[in-house]
Amino acid sequence: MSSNTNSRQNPLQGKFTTARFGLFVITAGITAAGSLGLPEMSILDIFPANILNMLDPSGQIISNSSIQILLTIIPGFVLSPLIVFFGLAGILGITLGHLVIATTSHIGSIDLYSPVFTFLGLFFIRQFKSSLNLIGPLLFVIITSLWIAFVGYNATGESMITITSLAFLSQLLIIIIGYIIYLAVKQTNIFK
Amino acid sequence: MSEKEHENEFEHHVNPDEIHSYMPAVIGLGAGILVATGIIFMLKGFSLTIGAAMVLVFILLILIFLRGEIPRWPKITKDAEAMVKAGGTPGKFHEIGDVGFPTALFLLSEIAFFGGAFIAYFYLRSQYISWPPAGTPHLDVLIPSIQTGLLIVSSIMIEWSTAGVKKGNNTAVKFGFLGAVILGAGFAVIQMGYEWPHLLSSGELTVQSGLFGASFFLLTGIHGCHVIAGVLANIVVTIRAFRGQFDKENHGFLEAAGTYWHFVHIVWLFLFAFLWQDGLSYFQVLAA
Repeated sequence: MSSNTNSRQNPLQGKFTTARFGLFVITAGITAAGSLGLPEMSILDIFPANILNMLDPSGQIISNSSIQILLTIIPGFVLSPLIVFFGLAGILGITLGHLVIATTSHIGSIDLYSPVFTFLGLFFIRQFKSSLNLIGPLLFVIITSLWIAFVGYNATGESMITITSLAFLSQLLIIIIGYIIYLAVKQTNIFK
Repeated sequence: MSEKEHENEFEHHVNPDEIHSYMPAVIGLGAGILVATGIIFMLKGFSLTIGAAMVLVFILLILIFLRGEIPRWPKITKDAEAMVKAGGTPGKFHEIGDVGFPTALFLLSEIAFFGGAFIAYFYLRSQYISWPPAGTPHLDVLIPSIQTGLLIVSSIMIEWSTAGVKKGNNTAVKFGFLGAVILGAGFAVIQMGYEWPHLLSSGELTVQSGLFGASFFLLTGIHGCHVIAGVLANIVVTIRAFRGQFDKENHGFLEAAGTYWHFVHIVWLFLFAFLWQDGLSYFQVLAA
């Protein structure tokens, strides 16, 4: 029977498959569970004090509780560079995982918009998969850090440049880890 | 075996006309109209006699159905066995590599079910100024974190199986689902064998502990029932996998069970966020 007849009988033929649905759920699960289940961690806990002092000499921004919450690392973002393998199912999965996290945000309802920017960033990773594979992750970092900075600025009124720098470092750190995982996975050819 | 040969083999064993029946639809409508109306008549006190009569008519219909069906069962069972041996299930069994429209429809009904439960939860929650209400214990996230881990790994195992069956990797099919069964059972045991008894026996949180307690046990309960149903479906898949009943072309049930399990997993993420982490509590004041 031709594939044309198949799709007439089953409109979801080739679109909604168990494999894709599974990828969607697994990426959503890892993203959400990484933040809901693991202890919260921020770059303020990881980065050396001299770098943080350089960015924020007065220490006012770093000590702000809203900024500390905003700079909390989402461990599930390590999956972002793997979008190249996972495709749209992975993009939607990570976005949904972020949405689940955003429902529990201490910042407020504005955080519910954050997954939109995550989706955009992931979309660019997918779009630029054929080039050096660095443009996409870099765009992801830029887009998401600008959004975090915007939220931080609105919530605290502190220097947007400083918040952007801190957010950039935070997102960059997680993407670098993800990129290393991506390179390792690529070597194994597991998704071929 | 070519597609044509498959169809011939299938038709050789089974007459498709014999496996068609309008009775499931009749029973469904009967349950919906006779039983539901009868119960309403009885409970609302309109007429106990008419209500009971409606239920009795339904029972009578079932008995008539069984009277006609039971003599056919040995033949149907024999035909079904022959059909499985022939390598297919009724209909276009070669085209069920995807999840399929019926499974998608079933999932939509499940989304509606859980959607309704969540809407009811948020509606009731909106009557409070702060959430969770004062005096509600803060639930430890360790147990749901472990449960989430179990679900993630079980979903990965099902993905392994689903990919395996298309490549003819029977080991992946068998042990992927076996692993999912063990992990799913672990989830249910942790919830109903450890967490619930601990909360109930200590009195920390019970069904009588206000709206939060009632919602907690209701939502985790209906999800727990779905987990058990998923484990049972996965057990059937595992048994069939060990009997070698799945191959590259015939694995629709495996995919349907896997999809259902993934769905159960995703619902859990929302439960975790809403019940343990007070998700969307920033709308509380607004709603109240």
